[in-house]
Amino acid sequence: MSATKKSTAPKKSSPAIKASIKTTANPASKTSTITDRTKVQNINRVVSAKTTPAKTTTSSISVKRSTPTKTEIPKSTENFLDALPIEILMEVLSFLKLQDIARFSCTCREYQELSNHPRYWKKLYSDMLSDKKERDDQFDYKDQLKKGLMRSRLTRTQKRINEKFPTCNTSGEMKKLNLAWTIHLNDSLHCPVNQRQVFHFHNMCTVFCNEIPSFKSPTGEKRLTARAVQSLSVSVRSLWIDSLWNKPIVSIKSMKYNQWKEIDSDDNIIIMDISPDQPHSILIGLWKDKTDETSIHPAPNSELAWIMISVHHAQLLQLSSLQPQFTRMNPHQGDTGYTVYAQIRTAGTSKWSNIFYRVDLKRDAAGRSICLCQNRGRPSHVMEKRLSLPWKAGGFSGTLLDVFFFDIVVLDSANFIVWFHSQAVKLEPSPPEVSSNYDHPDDSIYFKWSVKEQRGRVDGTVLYSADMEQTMICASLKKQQISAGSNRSNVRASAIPPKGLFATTPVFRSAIQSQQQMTSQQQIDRRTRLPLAFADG
Amino acid sequence: MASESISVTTSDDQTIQLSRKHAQMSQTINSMLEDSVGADQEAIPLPNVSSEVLKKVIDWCTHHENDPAPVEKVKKLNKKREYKAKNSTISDEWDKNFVNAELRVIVDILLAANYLDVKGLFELMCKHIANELKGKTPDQIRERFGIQDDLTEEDKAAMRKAWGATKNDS
Repeated sequence: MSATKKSTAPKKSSPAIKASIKTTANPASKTSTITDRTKVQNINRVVSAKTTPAKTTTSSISVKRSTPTKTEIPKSTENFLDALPIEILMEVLSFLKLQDIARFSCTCREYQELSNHPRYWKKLYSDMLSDKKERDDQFDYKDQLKKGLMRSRLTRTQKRINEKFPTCNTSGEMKKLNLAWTIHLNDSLHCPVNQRQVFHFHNMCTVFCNEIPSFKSPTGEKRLTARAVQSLSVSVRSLWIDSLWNKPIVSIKSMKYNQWKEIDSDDNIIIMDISPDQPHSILIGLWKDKTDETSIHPAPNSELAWIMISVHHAQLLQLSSLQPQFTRMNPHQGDTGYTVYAQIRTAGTSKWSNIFYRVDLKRDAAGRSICLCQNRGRPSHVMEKRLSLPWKAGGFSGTLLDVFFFDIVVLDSANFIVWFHSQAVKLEPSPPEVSSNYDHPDDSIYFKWSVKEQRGRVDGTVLYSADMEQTMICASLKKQQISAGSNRSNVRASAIPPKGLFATTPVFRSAIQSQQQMTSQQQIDRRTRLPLAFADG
Repeated sequence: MASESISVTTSDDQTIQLSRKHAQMSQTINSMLEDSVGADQEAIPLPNVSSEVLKKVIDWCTHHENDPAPVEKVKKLNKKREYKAKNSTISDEWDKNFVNAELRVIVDILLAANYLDVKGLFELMCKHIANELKGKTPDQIRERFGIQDDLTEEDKAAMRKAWGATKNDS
């Protein structure tokens, strides 16, 4: 510890020191009163003042300070903190709030650089992620902290699920989520329409689920071996009608088995349920109408285009407090209108917040077009919590690029959630190249948003590629000045409807096309300014 | 067993006697003693600590000699993944008086406590310095700690801008 040398220059000892040492060193002196000890201290202070003539001024001031006066801040001519190694300095800073750390880092260049120091990030890393493991020099703590925070969101969700559903099977490192789903694929002759069924497809085959909370086979028999899809998101897709054999085929891709499994109309798909009491499942069905493009209702001989189930833990848990209104159930689910909630939130926010974009997609009577309505909408459960991520504080801003989570929720006209997705978003400095490659209406959901905040404009794209079974969210941050004087961050949302939801039906496709033209023409008019309590706004 | 008194040599070549109990509050000396069991009881050299500072350390040790050994807290998982400052309140009255000293001395004691590995004292000194930094503007901190201001106006403007944007944070 070379730094100590500086501050421990040899000092002349006085008899007073020796006397005091003897007193304090003797355990018997424990009985001596506190005043004795403070006397000793005073002596020491005087001695130190005497023995260091170079620092007389500071010493005397310090002695004066023993009668505390708040107005007077003693001046120092020497930077004492220079003597401290960075580890100790960080230990000191760990007692400070971010605000104070930021102020401290504003004092000089050395401490400004501290906020970029690898060791500082190492400490933050171990503190925030509770990871004490020693890493080698190659380990980029700053980068890993970013990634870790993204990952931690998943683990946190896992933990909450484990608390809430202690009966979940455990396997491997993470407790896995078992979703139970029963989808009956039956010929309509064999399976009459049940009033209580939630999903109702006019088709050659009637596809229905039992009421969502139960998902139990009425007869209790399982005609297909249970297929536990154990992953964070479950998707069941690609249900189509094999016109040749005139029976539906459902392909399931499970994350666990990572292979496609085809089932036919006689099979039940059993995906284990989290809990029978929670309505947390999403099912989308679309029709392929070959004959009548104008009809709202699918033609009798139309085909089921595809079916998708998408589940996300975190959302599901939150949804448990948002019970859908079963009474308002529309028998033609997914046919009349959608509401899209899209939001950006920061990593620590666990509840929905900052819904900045809401679009209602409604078909008119002729079924030709979809109206795009943007509403100022803010749910009652807006999260008020403020975040304290380290790079949000002044001294650290710009050190890390922001991390957001972007959520999309699609509600149908009955306020039932038909699709949602949640994704960690890193604001990239430049627009990603992939954005054009996935702009295929047939197999991807394509979603754009753009946010203006104080540091610039954020343009984002969400691509849900059915081929690759993954969602990509690309965001770009453009440094841009906006008009001064507005403290509020403004959000401008421009929308292209999630095509994948509609595009498989020709009816919708034409509607979307017309709507897109409308969107591009009137985009500026339709942009609505919504207040957004942005992460640091 | 070894004698009740242990002598150490400080950086300014003074030999100071201190009781075993106090010496063992320092993990550094404690491990030295354990290493040299049966060896000659020579004075332990502490080249990084001056007698003046050591005296303060002993002072502190005397007052805290009957404190319960610090319990190694099992750190709770930082669930929120947010930055959280430690509590810097100094509760002990004696400690408050103890830290009421010149900053240079505080820094010296902090370094000595770090070297000697006296956890309680180290923490106390850190808390004190943190309290000194708390709630002060950069200018005040510079003045208090004698930090040379080597930031350009541009740096400051950038800082102020960043700071202004996040004023309400945390």
